[in-house]
Amino acid sequence: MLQAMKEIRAIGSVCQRITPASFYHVSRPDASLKTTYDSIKDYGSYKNNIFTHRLPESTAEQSPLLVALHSRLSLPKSYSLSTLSQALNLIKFEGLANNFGLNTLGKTLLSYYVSENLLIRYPRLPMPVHNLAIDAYMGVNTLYDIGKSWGIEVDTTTKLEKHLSQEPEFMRYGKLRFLDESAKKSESKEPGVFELTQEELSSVKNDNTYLSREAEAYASAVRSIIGGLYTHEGEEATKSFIHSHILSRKLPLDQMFQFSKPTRELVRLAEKLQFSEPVEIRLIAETGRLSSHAMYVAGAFCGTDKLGEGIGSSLQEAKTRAVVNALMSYYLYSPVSQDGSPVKLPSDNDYKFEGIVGGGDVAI
Amino acid sequence: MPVKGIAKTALSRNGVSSYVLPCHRVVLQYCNWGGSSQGIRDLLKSGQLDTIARQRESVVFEIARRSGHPKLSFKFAHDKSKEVNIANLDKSEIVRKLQDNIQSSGSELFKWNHKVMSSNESVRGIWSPLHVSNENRFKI
Repeated sequence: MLQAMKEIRAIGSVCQRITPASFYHVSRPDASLKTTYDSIKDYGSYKNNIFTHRLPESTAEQSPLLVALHSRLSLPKSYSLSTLSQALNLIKFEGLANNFGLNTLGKTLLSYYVSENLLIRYPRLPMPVHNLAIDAYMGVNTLYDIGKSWGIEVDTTTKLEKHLSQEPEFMRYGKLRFLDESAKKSESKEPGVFELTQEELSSVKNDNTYLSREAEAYASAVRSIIGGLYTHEGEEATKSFIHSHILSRKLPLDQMFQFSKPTRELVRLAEKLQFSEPVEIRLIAETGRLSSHAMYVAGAFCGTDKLGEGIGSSLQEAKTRAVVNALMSYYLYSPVSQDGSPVKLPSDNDYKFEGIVGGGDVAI
Repeated sequence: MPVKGIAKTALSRNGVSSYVLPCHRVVLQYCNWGGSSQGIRDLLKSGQLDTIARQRESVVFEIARRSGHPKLSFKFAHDKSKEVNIANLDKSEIVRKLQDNIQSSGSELFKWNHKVMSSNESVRGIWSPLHVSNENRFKI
């Protein structure tokens, strides 16, 4: 016994020497930022010594790409071109300020307005669908698509190529910069063939999809442009920008549900909502069993109330469609205010809560 | 697990509450010597291009001098592009080509043999013979 205790203690001390426990859970500052401080607990004294400067406005004005992008997005006059150029820069070590902060700011604003919109407009959305709906509005793939539609170009040429083609220096300030010199050279020449970087390889999922660095860079640029709008114009302008560019897209919510046991789910839901009568599936109409292509219309009823209806070419299909229709009409409920307009959002002026709070998911 | 989600991306509807011009870059290519570039050389000399570029601030105009027939290349959103041959066209015809294509979406032209093209479902739904009231049904 004593022997074993000693061994454990010995093993413990070895482990401590190799990996101190504090290494695991404490977030450490990024060493590349060369952070210095007087005392580790004095957070006010933290200072990054990496040299960065902002692009002078006079240089940014000479970049036609920046001027055009500014005008294409109809950004306000106060939105400086140097901020726009900063939003397109993801490179940390070139002396120019990058978009790290703007990206974080934009992401926070986006997630606030998108989730506010979904929670108020679709209060009964089940959690898994709600999360995917947020991704559908502001996930990397969607923001990549938006960035592409805004006509943001990627800086893919090396310094040598730029020199040889006598491209003016300020052209690159209007392009999306995320590739370092070595990555630019290894562009694959074969169309449709992509060479993945090490981090892209690690993001490959089971279904063979991955997030390309380009997609992430575009998404980051779009978020940063939104963050930049907040720094120059404030909250109202950012909100209307998000509503007009992000939330104006069509969300195919009706295609985002996958039910495994719909009938059982509907029954559980009815129990939870304390319906007075049991849920029944009834046949409403049919073309006749002996007709060449029989069609059936089934309905999910609770007493005399019809919850949903479905058409199918077999009784089973019609029944399942009716049940799914009933579930969808419950989950996709969207409240309207008394005058028929959509209900107000918490960030609107003189907001008064009008809708409902969803009751949560059911378990089967 | 009661209900699972299926990942989708929200569909873009350019023009619904915000509009971003799909065309973002025009390259005007001309030759300093060839006769087929006479029209575009006239256009460049006249200074009319400055007015057009000022009106279309959201498009980058690039002028390239290369030998061969002159052409206009347009770059659109989502990596679409279009090239228009302007050999032997005069100034006004080139301006018209320029204005026409800047306003284009860059998509291939196609024939649509239906009355409506929409990403929304029909508001009225589809007529169903099974929902007609009993007395109006077709009797065999």
